[in-house]
Amino acid sequence: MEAPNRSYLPPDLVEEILDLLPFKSIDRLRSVSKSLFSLLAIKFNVRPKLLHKPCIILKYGMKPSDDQDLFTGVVLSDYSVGKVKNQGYMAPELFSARPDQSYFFLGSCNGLVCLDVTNHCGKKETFVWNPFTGICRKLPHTKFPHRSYSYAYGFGYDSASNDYKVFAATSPLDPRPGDYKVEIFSLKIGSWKELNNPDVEHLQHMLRNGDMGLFFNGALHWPRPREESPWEGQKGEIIAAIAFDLEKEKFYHVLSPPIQISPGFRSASVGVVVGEYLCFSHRDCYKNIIWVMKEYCNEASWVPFISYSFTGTTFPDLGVGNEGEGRVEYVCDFIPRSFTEYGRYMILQFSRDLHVLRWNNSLEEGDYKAWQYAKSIKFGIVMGNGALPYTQTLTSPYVS
Amino acid sequence: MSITTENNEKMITLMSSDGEEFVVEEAVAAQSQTIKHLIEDGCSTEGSIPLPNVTGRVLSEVIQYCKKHSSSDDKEEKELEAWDAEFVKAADDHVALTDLMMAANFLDIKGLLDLVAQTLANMITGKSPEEVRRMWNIKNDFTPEEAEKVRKENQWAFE
Repeated sequence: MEAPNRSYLPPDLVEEILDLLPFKSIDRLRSVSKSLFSLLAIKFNVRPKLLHKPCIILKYGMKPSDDQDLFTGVVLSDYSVGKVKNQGYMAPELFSARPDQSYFFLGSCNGLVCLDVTNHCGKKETFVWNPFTGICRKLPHTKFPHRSYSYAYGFGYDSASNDYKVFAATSPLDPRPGDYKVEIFSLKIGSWKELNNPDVEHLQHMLRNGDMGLFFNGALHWPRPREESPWEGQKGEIIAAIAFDLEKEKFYHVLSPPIQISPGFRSASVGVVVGEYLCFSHRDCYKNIIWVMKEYCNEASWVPFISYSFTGTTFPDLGVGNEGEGRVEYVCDFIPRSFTEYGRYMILQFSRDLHVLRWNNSLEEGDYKAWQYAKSIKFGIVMGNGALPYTQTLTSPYVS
Repeated sequence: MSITTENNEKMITLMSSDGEEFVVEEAVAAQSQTIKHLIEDGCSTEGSIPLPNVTGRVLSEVIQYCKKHSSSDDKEEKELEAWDAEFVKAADDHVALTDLMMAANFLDIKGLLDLVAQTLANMITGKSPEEVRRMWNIKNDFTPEEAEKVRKENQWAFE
């Protein structure tokens, strides 16, 4: 026998129906559920201020079992581990979770998560998804195939036009200057646009990473290329990040603090601390050092923030684990990208547990003791792209 | 599988999510942009076209619609409108209509999608939030505190 009720109504269908409804009916629908509220809030330009809880979303490499979800959400303010809304609720194709499907996070901003889903044939679809409301939007394909040799992505918000933008750049192997392609998707306009005369000088550096751009201060930031010999300035500064201003659609770069490039210099990354400061981390064989830029884009304002060693040891200073217990893994890639959107939480991985550290103070130089051990989460190994911070909001991927 | 009938109509086999097979003329199936593209991409040459999102019951309704709309031309517009009205009436309730709308969306049949969307919009008009929740089994996921905020924001929107 058939169930008397439909279990869900996909959002693109809701939109189709909403477009046909008289205003009075639409207003009544606002209080039906959060996802409808969100859709209507955008349509009627009411800014919802309901919830802004910082969370991280974690993804398994493949679906662990039938009764487990592919994605898990962790609410950091109370450390509750919960389901993110999915279950075909709004996006059946996103969560069909075939073992041969792969997922790749492209970024998050204001509660929206942008990700790629690649099926077993290598066919790729890009989605913008709000894991809190479950609303998901499938984006059209880019004009240029982004399976080429090099690529870079990002997702952020342009406050000037009140619009969310997806950034996709690509180049083939051995590119000539004209081979660099940048395309930008506007959630408001609903289509991809090719950027004219993209800045090849910056692109050729950032495209080596294939990394997700970090959204901060109206721009996407890609950490300096891993394998590249540093661009050394007179005082030893290198490029910390290549940035792209989402409003002006222009590239620029941010220089690092003056650092010694030792033979053991390995990787560097950028992040955000306490929601206000761009930070830069780099490591050599034994140590990870994080700097904070107190005034954005003023390279003279870098101050050292935290440094710690990690090889085969714990973080006694941070109060994580006991001496000799658990080896830090993936930490180099996890820090400082693991800062959440508001930067008050830092996620570290020891063996099979994730540890959440919480920042309790205002920012003071080198005051790393303000990081307090908060919670460990049993999850299993999270690989490089397996965790993404986001915030619980009712922001809809359908912007108008 | 593509086979050919006596009058040289190319036939296509569509397979629903529950394994039911439907043999239809290619022109009928191609009302669906999704199927049209699958045929163009050569996906129909190896066996039938699987439609994992559409059940046999819904697919048979969709095929009815496609058959009608591929055999009629513009002159019969009035007759077609009347047929459409009967067609959605026969679909009975919002559950069947929602299934139909999801199938029309997945199969990319614009005419059918618009038809069903309008029918559902007419159904929702004048319904209370609770009635709408019941129709689609939508959970009221607002906490009392949030519901109060929504109520206030609504008020604000009307002031």
